[in-house]
Amino acid sequence: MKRLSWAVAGIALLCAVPVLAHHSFSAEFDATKPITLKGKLTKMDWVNPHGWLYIDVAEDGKVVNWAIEAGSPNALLRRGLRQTDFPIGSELVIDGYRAKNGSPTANGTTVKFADGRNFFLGAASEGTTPQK
Amino acid sequence: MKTIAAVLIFTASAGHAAAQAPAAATAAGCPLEPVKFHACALPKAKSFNPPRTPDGRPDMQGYWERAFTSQDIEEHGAGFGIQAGPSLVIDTPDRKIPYQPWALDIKKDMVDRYISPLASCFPPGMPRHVIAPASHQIIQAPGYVVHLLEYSHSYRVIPTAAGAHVPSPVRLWQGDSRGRWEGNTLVVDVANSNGLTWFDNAGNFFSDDVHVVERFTMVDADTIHYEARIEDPKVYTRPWTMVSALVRNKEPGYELLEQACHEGNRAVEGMQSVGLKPYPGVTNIRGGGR
Repeated sequence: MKRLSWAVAGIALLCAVPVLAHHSFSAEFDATKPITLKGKLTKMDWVNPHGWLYIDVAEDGKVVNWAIEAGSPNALLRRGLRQTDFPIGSELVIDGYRAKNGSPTANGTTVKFADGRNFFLGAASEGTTPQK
Repeated sequence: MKTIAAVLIFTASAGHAAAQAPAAATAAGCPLEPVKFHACALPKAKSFNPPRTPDGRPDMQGYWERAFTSQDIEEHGAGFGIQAGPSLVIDTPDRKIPYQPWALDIKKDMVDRYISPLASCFPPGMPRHVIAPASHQIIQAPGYVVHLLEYSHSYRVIPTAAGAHVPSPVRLWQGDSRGRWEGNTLVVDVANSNGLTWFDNAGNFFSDDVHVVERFTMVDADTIHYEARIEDPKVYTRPWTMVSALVRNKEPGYELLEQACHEGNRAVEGMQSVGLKPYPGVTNIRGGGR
């Protein structure tokens, strides 16, 4: 089984578009704190080494602007995504993991648009999709 | 196996992504697991007559991808954002890096104390340059091999007419690479490291005395056997060797893109906020730095 998982890791790297996550996520984000955020996109930073999505989330009667780390612009681009795929004001549902420092920051794994589009955000791996 | 690979590819390319190449569990007909790849690939390479550059050297030009991530070069299971992977170390009894006891103590909590140098957008150093998270391009000219990495615009220019290393006081993030051809193998001798880079994101380290001898051998037209012999008597009990397959990226129209790593690097800010510090090099951690 162990051998199988190595082979799968290798296969994934050789076949999938490389993702440019350049750091260990556990240093910054908490794997035990998954979070689902629903809100309106206020900004998309198409920047290196990771893109960032900002969404306004209603929490306990107030609105909090969350920052969500995504994949690198080159990885998103090679996956067929463009900055114009993230229009400001879009209603989004984002799954990810909370930052350890308690700030409204998360590492994104998937983003769903109201029209049903569903993207892998590609931040949570140095290579490809994390394996469960 | 095919089903699992297909699921991974679909997940990684969800959305309106371009179609991906079919899965390949092997490279040059060899398993990717490093010990097996090493045993299988080198004998094959002996009977392979590689394509040649106009000056008669093996033509390794093109785009290349590593076989495994550089999250941890020792064997590791899947974790948060980490894929399971085998040890790249091929010649120690337990397949672990042969740290001296004091060095192993430092390594144990390295990632809880220090920011991974790659997270700070520093050049990856050798040998991580070869297994860092991004595509590579090799370009050859008479007397030189140019090794480009998309990550943080990292590169090295390797003179193949050998020559002496730069003087010892000169310390470099990428080290000083001097190459030579041994038959069909490109041998690169790397010294003058500043000791401020890691092998991976798991905090595996060397000192500024590290000496790396790399060997690049084409196994077939689309596969390179990459080997790095690591020597650092300050840190390890013995020299050791790591191996990885490099596989040609044949995607039509593929090219390296700009990757201005510092542009929006909030990772460092996030790590500092939970108490991590810039990595000062092991000689400074232990005391008695250069």
